[in-house]
Amino acid sequence: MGAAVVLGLTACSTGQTSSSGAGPASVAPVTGKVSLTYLQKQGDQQYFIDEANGAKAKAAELGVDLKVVNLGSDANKTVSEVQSAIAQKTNGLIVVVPDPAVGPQVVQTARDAKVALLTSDDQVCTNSPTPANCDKANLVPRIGFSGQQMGTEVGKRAAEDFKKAGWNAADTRVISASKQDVTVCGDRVKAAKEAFNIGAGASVQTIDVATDNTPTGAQDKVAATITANPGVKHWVVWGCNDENVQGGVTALQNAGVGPDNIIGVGLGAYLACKDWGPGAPSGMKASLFINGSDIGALAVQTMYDNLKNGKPMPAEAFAPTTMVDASTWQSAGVKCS
Amino acid sequence: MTTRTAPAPEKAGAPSRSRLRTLVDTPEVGVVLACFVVFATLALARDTFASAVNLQGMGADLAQYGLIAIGESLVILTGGIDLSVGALLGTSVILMSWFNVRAGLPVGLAVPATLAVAGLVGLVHGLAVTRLRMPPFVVTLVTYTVAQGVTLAITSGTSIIGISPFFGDIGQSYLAQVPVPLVLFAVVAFAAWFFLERTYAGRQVYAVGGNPEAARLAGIRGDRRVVSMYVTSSLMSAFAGMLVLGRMGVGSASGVGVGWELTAIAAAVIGGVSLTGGQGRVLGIVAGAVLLELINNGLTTLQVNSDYTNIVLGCVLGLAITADRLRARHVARRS
Repeated sequence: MGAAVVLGLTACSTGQTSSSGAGPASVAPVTGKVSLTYLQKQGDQQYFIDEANGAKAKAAELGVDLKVVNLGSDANKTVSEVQSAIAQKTNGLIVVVPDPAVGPQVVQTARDAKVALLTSDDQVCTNSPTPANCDKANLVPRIGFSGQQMGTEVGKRAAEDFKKAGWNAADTRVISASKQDVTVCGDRVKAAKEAFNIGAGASVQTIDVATDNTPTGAQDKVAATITANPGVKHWVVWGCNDENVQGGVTALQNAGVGPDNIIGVGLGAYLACKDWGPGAPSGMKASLFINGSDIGALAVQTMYDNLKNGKPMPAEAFAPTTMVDASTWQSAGVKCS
Repeated sequence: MTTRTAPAPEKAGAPSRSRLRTLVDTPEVGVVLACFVVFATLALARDTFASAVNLQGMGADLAQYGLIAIGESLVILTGGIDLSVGALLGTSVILMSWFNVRAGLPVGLAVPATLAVAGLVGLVHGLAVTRLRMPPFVVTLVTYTVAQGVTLAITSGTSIIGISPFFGDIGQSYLAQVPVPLVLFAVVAFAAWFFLERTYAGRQVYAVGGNPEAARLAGIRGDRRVVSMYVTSSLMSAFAGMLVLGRMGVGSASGVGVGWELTAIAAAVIGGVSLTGGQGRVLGIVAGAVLLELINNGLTTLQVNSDYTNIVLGCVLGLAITADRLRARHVARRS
């Protein structure tokens, strides 16, 4: 019955329109208090918690009314919460999309409501669901890190450590752990693999491990992988974030693999630093330090400058990343919570 | 000799008191009242809450969650549970996109094909529960897991793009400022109400859920009713999936439908559907879904940190279950 009703409704007026150009048509400058909404995917992860805290601190400093919403990994909730934020008369939206494919829908909704839009962390295209194939002019302004660049840094460092260790490729395996339905995770681990293959000078078999991007989830899945590969002596571990790598390294160490036989290269450094306590050898050899707090603060500042002072948003603003290890993490400014 | 007892003279306040008692004993009344109170409170607290834009957004949300809540409730009425409604919705989004884009089927075939797959899943659930006597919890939990795996297997984590504009026409359109998904939800809710309240088969669903043995002795073919409710529940998930697909504009595998089964169960229980089966009405189910949406949206409106939303919703659900148990005890004591 439902299907019959649906098929009879094709003549209805639609809310969909197509357009191009990166920003909303015209956003009037805000005279009173600025109200912003920060929509984050996976808001329970340490990086995004740091990002939210950075945004809140900057908002308090600027006198901005900021609402942070955790979208989890639900692409549908992104559309729903954008509409809700607009209904609450927000002046600007900062969005970390769980799936860039819903980007055009978000852009259109913001544009129709004449609300300023800025993306953080992940790219969004105004007229295409795949930002990778998007014309630069159609990318929504973004504050963040380059996923490909981050993955490349991780792969390079893993290759350096692999060469330094002098391991044999035949009895070494790479564990690439990430949540497989998160597009940016795919970008990161793919770039890491490519960089590793170039830098290692040997062909090492990679095992893709599907996780939920949490330490315990990664630990469980990697533990099963270890059991399925009994002849392996040396392990290289990378992933979408620190959670994956820490979980993987923990699983290996619990299975009796010594820290000297593990090269774990994290992404974030917020969990890796916990393994670098005094006198405790760890399989976590390095991690790419990305400061979520900086991104959150920069995103709020950028949006505020645009809404209050009419300053154009940069097409892309990257925060710096630093590869850190047990000897350098403190001097690099990693806050180990 | 026959003796006739004269009817006792009616007390002046008796009819109104019995009417009041009937109201108190009706689970839906409390939740409908709660909807009005919550709406009025939020509308007074924030002028943006009752704005047309916000109400339209809430309407679109309500349609998605409401449809699976109705499907879930029909299963609960039979004394079962369907944990797969959310995951199956997510899979339906992907299947519909896949049929339409990758298989190149027109909408007129892609939608029925997805509904057919979903219906088949429901049929398997129903037969497993009735013929194999498998616990509904276990059967549908298997589908919950498999459905999420299928979604990932089809997409490899990449969204399916280039879907027919038809889906957007359904998911993003308005009829006299009312979102089309909400209109469709109202139609389905009315159909469910008519089925349960006005048909012989609907009454049988209550009978089977309330007392399966008595229903069997009365000659009711309970298995058939149970199977049909599982099929309907799965069809509702697929139907809701079509609305979600239209709203997103892409076949996204990213977290869509995950955890929605809990919202569906919560809407049913808050609406007065007994988890033991045989009790509950469509008005209550709809009111339960409305109340959840009001709370969800209201907390956003009041700028409450989204971390606390689940705490509030959990407390509301806890209160509803407690009220259900107390009401059941009260009715049992009186009868």
